[in-house]
Amino acid sequence: MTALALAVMLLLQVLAPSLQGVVFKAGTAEPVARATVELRSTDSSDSRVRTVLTTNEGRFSFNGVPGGQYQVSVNRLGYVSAKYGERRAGGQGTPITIPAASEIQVALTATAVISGRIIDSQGQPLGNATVTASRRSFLQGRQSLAEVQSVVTNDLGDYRLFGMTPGTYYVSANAAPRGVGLGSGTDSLLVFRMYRESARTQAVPTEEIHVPIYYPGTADSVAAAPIELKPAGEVRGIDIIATPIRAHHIRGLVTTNEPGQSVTGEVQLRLAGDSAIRFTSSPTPTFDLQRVTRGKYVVVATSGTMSGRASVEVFNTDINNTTIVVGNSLNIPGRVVVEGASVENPGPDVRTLRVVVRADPEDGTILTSPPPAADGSFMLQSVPLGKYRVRFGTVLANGYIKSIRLGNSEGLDTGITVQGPSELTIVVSAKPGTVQGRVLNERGESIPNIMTVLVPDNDLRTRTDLFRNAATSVSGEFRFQGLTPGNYKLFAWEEVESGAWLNSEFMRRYEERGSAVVVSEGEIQQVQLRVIQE
Amino acid sequence: MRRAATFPILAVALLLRLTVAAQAPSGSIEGVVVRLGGNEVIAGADVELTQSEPPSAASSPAIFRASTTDDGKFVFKNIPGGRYRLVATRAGGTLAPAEYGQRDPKGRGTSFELSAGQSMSGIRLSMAATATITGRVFDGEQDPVPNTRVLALEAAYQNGRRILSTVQAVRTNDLGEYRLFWLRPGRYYVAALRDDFRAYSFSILVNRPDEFGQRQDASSPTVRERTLQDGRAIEETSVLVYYGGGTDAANARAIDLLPGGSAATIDIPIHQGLAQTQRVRGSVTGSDGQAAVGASVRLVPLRYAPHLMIPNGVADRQGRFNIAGAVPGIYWLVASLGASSGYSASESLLDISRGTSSLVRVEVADRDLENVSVVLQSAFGFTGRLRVEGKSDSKWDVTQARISLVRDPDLLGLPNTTGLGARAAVQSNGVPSNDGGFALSGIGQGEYRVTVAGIPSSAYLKSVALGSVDVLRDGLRVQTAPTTPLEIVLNMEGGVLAGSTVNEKSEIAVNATVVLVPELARRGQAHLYKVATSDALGKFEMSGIAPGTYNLFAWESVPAGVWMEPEFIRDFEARSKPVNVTGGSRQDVQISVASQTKEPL
Repeated sequence: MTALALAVMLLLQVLAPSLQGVVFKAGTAEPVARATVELRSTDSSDSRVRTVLTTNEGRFSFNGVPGGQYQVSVNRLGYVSAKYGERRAGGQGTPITIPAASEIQVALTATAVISGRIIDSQGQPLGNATVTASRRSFLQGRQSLAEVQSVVTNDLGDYRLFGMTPGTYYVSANAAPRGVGLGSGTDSLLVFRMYRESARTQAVPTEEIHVPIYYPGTADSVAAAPIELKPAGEVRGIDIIATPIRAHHIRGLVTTNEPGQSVTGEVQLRLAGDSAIRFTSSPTPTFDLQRVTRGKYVVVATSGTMSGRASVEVFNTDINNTTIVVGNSLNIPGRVVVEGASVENPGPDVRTLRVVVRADPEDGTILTSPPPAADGSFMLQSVPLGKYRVRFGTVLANGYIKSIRLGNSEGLDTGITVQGPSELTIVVSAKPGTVQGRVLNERGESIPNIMTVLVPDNDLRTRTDLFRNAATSVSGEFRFQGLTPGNYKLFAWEEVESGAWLNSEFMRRYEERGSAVVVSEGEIQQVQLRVIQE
Repeated sequence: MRRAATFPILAVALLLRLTVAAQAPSGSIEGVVVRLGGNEVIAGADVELTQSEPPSAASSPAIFRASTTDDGKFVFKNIPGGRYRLVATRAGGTLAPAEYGQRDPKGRGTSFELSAGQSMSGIRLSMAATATITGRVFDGEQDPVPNTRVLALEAAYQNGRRILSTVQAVRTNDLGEYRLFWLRPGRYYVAALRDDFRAYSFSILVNRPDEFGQRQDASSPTVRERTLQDGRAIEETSVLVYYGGGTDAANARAIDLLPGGSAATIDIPIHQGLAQTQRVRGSVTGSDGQAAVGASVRLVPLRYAPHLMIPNGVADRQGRFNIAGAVPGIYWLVASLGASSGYSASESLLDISRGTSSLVRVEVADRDLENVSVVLQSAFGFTGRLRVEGKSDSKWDVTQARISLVRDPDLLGLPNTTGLGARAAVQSNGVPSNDGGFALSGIGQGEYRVTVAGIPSSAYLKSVALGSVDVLRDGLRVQTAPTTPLEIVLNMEGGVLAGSTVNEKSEIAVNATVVLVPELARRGQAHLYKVATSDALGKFEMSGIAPGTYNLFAWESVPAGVWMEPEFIRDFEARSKPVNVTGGSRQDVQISVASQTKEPL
């Protein structure tokens, strides 16, 4: 080979594009012109964003890009922002290695529109109402709706939710005034200031309250009707009558059985519902919580050093005689003990393990210990009497919680009940189990970007801390560490909503398709898993 | 439904009043609510009667409510004598509120006196239908631009300067269309800002027509790099584009809305709002002489805009900063460390009474600004004395006064500024001791004026001096810790000006704005101006006037604060009444009102 030929070859190598590809409309062969293709290094020290536009043939190429791993994303007005390697429109992407061996393809899904009108019970348009599109999602195992986008109606009551990723949505309207209040504030904008005065001196009082009303006309999100959005589609006529509903009161009395103590003067109250917590105070031990809508609540009362709670369910009447018995809080001494530590498995450093105590059921009471001393001892200050779940603030990678004892009663699976002076002992084992492996498709190939979930055996599914989830790597591998020994099942879904595996109804449908795996103390299990396809 | 909820409340109010009625003869007020410009009656309007001056300082004003019947009528019975305001509103936004004595749908009404046992009838409150502005936002290729922020603006005056203030903010839809609505009839301007990465609900502002509001926003500019044809890379950001005026607010085209009217095709070419930006680089040194690692640095523009862009950044490990996104103009460069009172260094209100800070004036032209070096220092303390001259109200003593420094101009984005239109959050509040001595702490660098609140209405601020600086005339520029005390003299015996407003035919002019303007040499001193509104009998009164020569002006309708603008006031100078005020004197004057300002704003 002559020197010239070698030089030409080197030159060609330098000139060869680092990455090229084509952008087309999903489900068609139609190219998308003037789409913005962005290339970002996965190496955080390189923050440069390289950008090119696609040609009329939908083609793009990047030249002179240093070798490495990159994320590719494609944007075009009217299409869902796409990432290379995503499993569905709007899903997680996977990195690509540059220089790339072959041309890549990115499919763009056209966005869709939902439109309609919000009116009151007399058929009059409701302006300045907030209209929200939500998707079903899972929050701590419960089905709930997660807001995706919201817009505000104009004076004709009209709205347009646009730029939506195709899929299933639920639409709600809330005619409550969207207050931004007075004075100055900060939000996603840097700062703003405003003043607002009213022609009126007082608002017209009312016992009615505006809540989100779901299409076709229900305050109950479970009864909301799904709206299917197809790519480039517009679903019109999603009209909602947003009538206010009657709100209720929770009235009651705060009292105590503590000898020699009584409840006088101001009490602090906390009303914890499914989705929100409201703080208020009452100048006397009798209280009147207003504007409460139907649902399950925990009312927490605090008077000086005493505190207590009561569960209340509101249907369609006021609750008039709630009694909250408050008692003195306790200081609970505790200790974190590491078992089975060795030179190879030193286990976690106890000084990094803050103990977090949450009321069960959750009512917003969360107590966090200071970092334990080197001998593992700590003190939980002012713990109100009641039932709690105890965990660490961080997930352990090199250990697992073996036991949580308050006095002599074990509370790892069931929680602890604080009734009187007692000591908390948390035993951590330095020999957790590990499960690792790869996810295969029907052809037996490893596949990247697949959500893999480790689920504990049926009787331990309330232990949400035992669940683990991770997407497979570029080479199709996963690895879960810091596992508690026991029986588990492994699932790998091609498409799954985050947290769905905590929902028992969802799991019932897939139970048979999981792979059983036994985790043993200090051992590594190697597993090959078949992806679940719909 | 609404009426059912209102009636029991009204009944309670009436019951409460009945006990009063036993002692004093009570009166009644009757009237009708109609649509402005016609005889169509408005049913279901909420009418509110509020005592404008409570019977004693300790009691809260009595409020009475009624709803109009199907024939638009309302009646209040068993009303004790007193001074009241009356306003009709209606839920839903299609009608602007109507207030007793109101001159136009954007203006406020006036109070009136109901004497004991008096019956007022035949009151007519006219509600104007609200109006809309619609249009489209498009780019250089004529393509619609979704998610653009569109603002409805109103002109107002701040310290004698005309500004455009946001009254409503909406966003364009996927077709680039927008609709501004529920606007009270009057003059508006429209501007749009391309900020499609900021699609947050907070950026939408819709006031009901019975809410009067103004808003000013500030955000970090989104800076994008663009390579020119000659291969040079420049940085750009989006700025406001005004309807009919490009990026210059002075050229914005006015949109006049009639009751129930609509202005369509108010289209905005948003690509005009692309502005080249420069960088500002430099270093921050802490009060200890070391590099101020992690100091927050922001550039606050001196020039007002309804939406300000505040470029900002954080000093690196060597104390260096490199801030992108500055368009040409004059800025206050604010550097601070440990002063953030929000949730992050760049996105918060700053409280520089804590930590250390520095304010430096910088000018950005057509290139990057290099080597700006700032030194942080702790906030300063002031001591001073409030001296009282003249005979004082026996119940008042000097410890009731509150001395504050307020930033002047009070720019959004500067540390420790006040809320817009609110009296909250001043730099520091000084409470004098019995001998008038006071201390102010936590004062950072900057320009201030001195205010004294909590003083009797007869009193006026005679002088404020810091060493040889006449603070009332020249303001207070704070660069370093003061070495002399702040000397404030308060005089208890200000002049009083009372009188009535009349029209050309010498008839009583109701709800006129009366403004006392100081002589030419002192027109820059905002504290010397006095403003009053004449009541339903055309009466007004001003007190606590500093001795001196003034001109008295009166207008039927005038935008608040415009009288500080020399060009405006010049046209009315000839009609004004010269007044010479001496200490402790009382004068009665009759002033004829100018029927119209030449042009709406």
